Amino acid sequence: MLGQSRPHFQHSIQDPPGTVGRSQLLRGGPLPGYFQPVEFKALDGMEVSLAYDGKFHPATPTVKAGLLIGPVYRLRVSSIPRMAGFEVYPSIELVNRLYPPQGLAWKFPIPIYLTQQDIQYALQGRYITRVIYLEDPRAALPIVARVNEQRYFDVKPPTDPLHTADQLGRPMAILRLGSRVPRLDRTTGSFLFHSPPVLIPGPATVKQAAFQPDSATTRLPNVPRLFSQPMPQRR
Amino acid sequence: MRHQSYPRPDRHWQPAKLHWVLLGLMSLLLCSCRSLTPLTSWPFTTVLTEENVSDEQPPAAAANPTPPTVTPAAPRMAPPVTTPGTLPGSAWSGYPPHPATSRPLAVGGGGQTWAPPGLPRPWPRDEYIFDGGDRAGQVNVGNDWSVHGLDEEDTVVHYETRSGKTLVQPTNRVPVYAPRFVTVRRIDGIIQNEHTFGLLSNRQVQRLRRNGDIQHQSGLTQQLQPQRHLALATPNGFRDRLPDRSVASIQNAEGTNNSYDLYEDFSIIRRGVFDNNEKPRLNQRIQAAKAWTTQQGLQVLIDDKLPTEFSSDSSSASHSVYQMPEGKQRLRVIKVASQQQAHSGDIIEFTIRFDNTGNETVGNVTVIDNLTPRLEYVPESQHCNLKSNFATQENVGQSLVLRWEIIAPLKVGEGGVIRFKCRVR
Repeated sequence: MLGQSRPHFQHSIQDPPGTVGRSQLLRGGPLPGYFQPVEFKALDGMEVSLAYDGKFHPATPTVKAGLLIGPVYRLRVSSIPRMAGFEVYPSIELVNRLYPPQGLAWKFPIPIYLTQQDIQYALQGRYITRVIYLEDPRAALPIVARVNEQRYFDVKPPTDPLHTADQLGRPMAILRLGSRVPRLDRTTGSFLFHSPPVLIPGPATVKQAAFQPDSATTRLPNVPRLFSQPMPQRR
Repeated sequence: MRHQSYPRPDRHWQPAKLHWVLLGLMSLLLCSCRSLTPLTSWPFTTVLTEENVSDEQPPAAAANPTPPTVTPAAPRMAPPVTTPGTLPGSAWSGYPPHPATSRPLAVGGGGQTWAPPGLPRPWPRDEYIFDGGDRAGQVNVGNDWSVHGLDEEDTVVHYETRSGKTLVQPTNRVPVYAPRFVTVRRIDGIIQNEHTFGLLSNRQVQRLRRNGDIQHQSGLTQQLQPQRHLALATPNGFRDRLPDRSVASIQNAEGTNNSYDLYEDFSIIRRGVFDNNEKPRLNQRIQAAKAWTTQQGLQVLIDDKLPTEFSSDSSSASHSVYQMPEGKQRLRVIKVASQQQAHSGDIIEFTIRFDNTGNETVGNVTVIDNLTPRLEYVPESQHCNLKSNFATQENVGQSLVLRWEIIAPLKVGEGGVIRFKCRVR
């Protein structure tokens, strides 16, 4: 029984970026070629830009894009408060996807929050790993999620956050940000992970995802009720 | 002169060479079958938009039912067509190839929602919030009106017949798509930067002094051990931050007292009579394909007897009609939700309609809804059009068990409507 209580995991968070996602592709299923919508939110006035087509694109507080499962994408976080001129280059790796009802994929993207606290830690020379997982609704904590705040909890080394997330839910993405000095090697493109393809939502999709239908109300007559038959009382 | 005949080397060497070449080709072919995706440059444009990648094929490709094939040595694609009509249909060269799949790219949000064959929809379970039904099928009522076996997400109605029996009827199951994400964070103190630590050396010149002895050796280089040791300190603090339970939401000031909202405007909700014309809209609200299947819904045991199924359909908006002998009692329960998907903080309104479809008056009807942990009951939001006693009780998931006790008995053909609101956590 003790041996069954601790399963053996094939991967760990120490694996190189892209290992977990590419291994997921080998398992088959509808993962290869699917662009999973992801929404990056840089909080506290920061801005984020996604690297594709060999370069970083203009930074905005929120970036929504469809990413493939398996490749690793490079981000750039800028406009850090009280840290003018500093930039952090996280990497994101998708390891699973959602299966929303038809037409709701862009309305329910995977949220990736970039907080100022994590950025400060990275600038101090620390290495932060975030594993975003889908919570099991039956084992969910009964608390209300705030706007622009993603609930998290810390694990202490050597606890593997990927294993912890797998036990609590379904790991969806791995965010890594640390103090590594970027080496902008434009010849090989290794820093940008060779710019994997992305899918940028069109204006119609953005408008449809933000659409909130009004709650229309129709007034109808009440259901008539007449009670005349006596019934046995409660015991 | 003696003639010696030597074997011609080309006759023996050529077959051996051919074998080695064939073995090499076969090894190369076998090794390239299931290898990982090489991290090389992507052979197609890396920026896709919904204008140049869509689920619908262009007219030139639509005539050909075979999917576009992908070869690794295919030439780069032409720039994506952003304006329809600027290029002829024959210029479309197929979907951009993907080196890992050799299949056409799927677009997020488009196409048919995939689900593994053989599993019931909606799938997967962890992306939905369910409410209603009897998940384990073990709800029973004791002699002291205590309910046992009521799991989270369950919604049942129990009532009493004239003969004193207490029967339990579950509702259908209502799914709401509301995935929620949590993050596990780990902070390492490892400085992942490139440093070069060289051995600290010291060059010390010492002169050997001897009388009358001149040493030509004038210098000595002595290697010393490193004088400093860098230790990697890992964080030892654990910080857990959980947001409080307050929530800010804006609700429209509109009431539904003694009226019906649009989502519950069905004949089966208003009058308890099923209308075939409302099947499509009822399907959107119930959505659970298994709500009316033979596993849940109207599959009830009445007086420990299985009723005879008169007609049934496996579609999502189908219904079943059961024929029972005379003198039997039945209670039909339907549950609908105002939204099919929701984010955290959204308000969902549920409506439960129950009808006495038997041929005997039933009494002491009690409706019980055990909310899932992701649903929070909005206080003072419940309404029942029949006179009833409403009570709540905290369940194991730190949510609530809602309980309505209908005071008056239900005659044949009569029913009632219960509404309440929940906030998605």
